[in-house]
Amino acid sequence: MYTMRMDPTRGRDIYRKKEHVVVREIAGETLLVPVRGRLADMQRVFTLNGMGRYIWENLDGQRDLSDIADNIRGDFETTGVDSETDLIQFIDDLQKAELIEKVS
Amino acid sequence: SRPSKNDKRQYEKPRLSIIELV
Repeated sequence: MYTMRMDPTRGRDIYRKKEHVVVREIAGETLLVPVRGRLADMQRVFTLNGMGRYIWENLDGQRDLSDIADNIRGDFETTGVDSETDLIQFIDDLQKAELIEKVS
Repeated sequence: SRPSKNDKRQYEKPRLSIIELV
């Protein structure tokens, strides 16, 4: 059984990827390209590391941050690291970059 | 269906990098 340790003020937050973001795997890197209309916004592109990609795939508009934190603890060796704080910081970075939006 | 402790993947801090293309 996995216990919920996430800060309750953020643990119930649910996010989803914005529809205008295209994801491509190039040479082992995950590239995020914002696209508006039929044109890519080529002033800025984004890359994710492996853990970032894992979280990105979990942002389905249904799972809340507690669920995602549980998944991380279940699939990764997180002893001695504050994976919840890392998750929230990463989510905040994605939101500032306008790559995700809050559902509830 | 969770992996056992020995099967868990190595954790790394999630990172978003921004590449400016101007």
